[in-house]
Amino acid sequence: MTAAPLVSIEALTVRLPKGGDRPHAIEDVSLTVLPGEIVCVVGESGSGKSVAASTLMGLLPRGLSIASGSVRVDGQSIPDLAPAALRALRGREVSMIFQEPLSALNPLMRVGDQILELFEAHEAYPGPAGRARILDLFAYVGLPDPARLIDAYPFQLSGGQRQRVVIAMALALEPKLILADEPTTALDVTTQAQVLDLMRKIRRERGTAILFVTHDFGVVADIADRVIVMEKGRIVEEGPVDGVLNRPQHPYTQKLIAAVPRLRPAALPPVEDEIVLEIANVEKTFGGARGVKAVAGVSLTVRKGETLGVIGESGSGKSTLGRTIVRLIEPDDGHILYHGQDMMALDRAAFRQKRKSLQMIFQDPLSSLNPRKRIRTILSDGPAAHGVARADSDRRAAELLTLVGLSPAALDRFPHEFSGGQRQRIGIARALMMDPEVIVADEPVSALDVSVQAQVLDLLNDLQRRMHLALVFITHDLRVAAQLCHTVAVMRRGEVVEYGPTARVFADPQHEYTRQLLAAIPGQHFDNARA
Amino acid sequence: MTGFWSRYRRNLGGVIGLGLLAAVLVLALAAPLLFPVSPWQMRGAPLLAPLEETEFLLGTDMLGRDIAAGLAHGARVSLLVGTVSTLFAVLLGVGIGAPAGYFGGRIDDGLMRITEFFQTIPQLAMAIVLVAIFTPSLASIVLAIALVSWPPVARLVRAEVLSLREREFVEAAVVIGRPSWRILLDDILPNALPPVIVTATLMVATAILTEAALSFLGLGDKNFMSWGFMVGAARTMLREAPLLTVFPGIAILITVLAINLAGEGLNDALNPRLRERGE
Repeated sequence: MTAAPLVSIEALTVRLPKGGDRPHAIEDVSLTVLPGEIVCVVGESGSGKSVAASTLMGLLPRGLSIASGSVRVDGQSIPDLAPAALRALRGREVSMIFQEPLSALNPLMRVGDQILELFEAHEAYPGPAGRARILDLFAYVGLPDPARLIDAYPFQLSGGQRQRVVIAMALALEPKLILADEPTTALDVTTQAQVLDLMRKIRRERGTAILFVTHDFGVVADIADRVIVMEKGRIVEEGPVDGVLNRPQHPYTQKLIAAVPRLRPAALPPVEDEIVLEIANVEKTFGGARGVKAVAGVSLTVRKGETLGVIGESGSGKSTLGRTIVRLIEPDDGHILYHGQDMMALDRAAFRQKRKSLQMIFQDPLSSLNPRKRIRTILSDGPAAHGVARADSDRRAAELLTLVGLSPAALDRFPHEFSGGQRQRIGIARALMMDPEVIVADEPVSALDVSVQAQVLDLLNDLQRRMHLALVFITHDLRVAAQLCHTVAVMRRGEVVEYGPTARVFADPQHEYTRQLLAAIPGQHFDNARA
Repeated sequence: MTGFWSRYRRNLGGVIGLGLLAAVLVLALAAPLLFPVSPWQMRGAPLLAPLEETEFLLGTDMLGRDIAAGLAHGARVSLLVGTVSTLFAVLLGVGIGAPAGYFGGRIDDGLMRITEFFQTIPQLAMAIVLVAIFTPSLASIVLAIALVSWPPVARLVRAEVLSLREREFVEAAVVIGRPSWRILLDDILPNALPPVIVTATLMVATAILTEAALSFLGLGDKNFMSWGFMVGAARTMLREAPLLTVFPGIAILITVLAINLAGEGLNDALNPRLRERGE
């Protein structure tokens, strides 16, 4: 702690517009970042972590204003800088890496030109020097074939490549500080591991300080020197990574860390012998004969009381597989057997009678509930479609709301009156209204904060214990799978590459891809230290 | 319902629009009481200025007909034609656009070709031809306006349904076993409604203008006084008696404006996801 801090925020309070749920976005926040240090700001949605970072660039969202306190970067007070000085600072002294690389890049411009634009704005690397510099940067951030990619458009790159371009752009003028706002959240786990490696390398070789905003404690464990935990706009805990993660002092930090799913497979209720669902050689190709094989000959079985985890990265076909089970997507080939009866042999009308046994829980708790319907109607539409009187389904709806941890008073409210976690509980209650035997859950917790995620997972666990459901749990998160699934099927490019009991797959993965996935999980040593 | 009204009240323009619209409606309903004599009847000296004789509040036209009576009776025709033709146009547009968007494929192709066929013909020209074929009457005017104004509704509804169809709550409705027609009517259409309502109010305004244009061209129903007829009849006197065109013109302006304002207020009130508006 001898060097002068590069960033110093002191007693900063940022006002929210009137009429919000609280008066300040952040309150009395003080933090420092030393040169060459990686500081992680951790918090759940609405904690103010992104607002704190945006003040460093003078880029507060519209409607927010600084009420008191100071923000200094390299000795300059950011709120006092003239617009021209602020522009000179952005990119040269401080640069930024965004969460979603696709929207951070201009889709109509070659990626090389976008970086040249940055050079022009700062009058750096004139003429041919610019292109040479970009080629250097692309090679440095590990982009394959820089000479070709420099003339590519963003849509021609993969998600990981785009994020490397954004990182190259952030590095282009050798800033002293990089602000990274959830830079790996939109990426697959293997890509995330590579990007985190790259950021560590940048710090090591260039001495760039990084302020890293994230919600993921696994990422924190992998990359941070120091951690700042925020709750509702205030800093509740701060310290070196080892201390905060392994000996958290504040109850909120303890709660957050306890909510991170453990990597070691959990003890689960026993599975019964009866096979409920059999998936046999299911195939689905999108876009005609030369199209993409989304699901290529997948066969799986699910028993009563069993949770089958379908694990894969984006584009692996796991969601398509889940949707074919409930026939939201018609497979091209193969059989879905429910209690031995082939569902594919039924016509639409006959299958509609079977639908109540095969239910689904959706990913996005906001879009999966009809915004114009009250919860009462949302829950009783299903039974009503199968001829149950509304009065009977109302009683059942009230019971189930209590079961999923909501008050029956919720019946008369609209979806927008609930938080994300509560909406997901309503989605679960809707599936249960049908007394299903099979539930397909497509990433049901990935849109939720970690503490809410833990509650919803507990709820699913508890429901399965009581109702002996057969659960097909689709997820990209191996930690979540370890906590919930009896068996897992790992999918890649439409194929199941590994299929077996969770404990065996995690302890002794047979396929190379499974090994890669497991190795890429962030924060493994932190998990092991706790277990 | 109280919630609906308290949300509607927040939009000042909507309240003003609704007030103006109510005034026009009251005028239209009260026309036979206020002006029991037919507005076609020549009752005074021609071209009286407003208030020149207290009996004729807004004066008389070149044939000595009471302008105020014409405006009041004309409001009946304008509102009737505007709302009824829009109602038909919206029903037609939703009936064609919704299945096109929901079922897609050949149904979509077929319905959209029909829509495009109607859309490629200039609206007013086609309305004139239709009214001329059917002989001018209130019914044929309403029909003609409905037939030329549904394609935008169909396209709008189709686009809304296309995007709503992909939403997870629609998939959820499929999974719980609701039949397609119920999903379309009960889950999708109510969510597609706000833009349709706004479009419909605009269409009422356009329909009033179209009716005025038809009457202006002499294709109105000769049994009913209308604002468009008044403007058209007075156009020959534009320099001598400009007020003869100004009064019905203002009536059209106020009504159309009121409907637009009310439509916007309605949209805000109907939307339960309260839109946060920046100050």
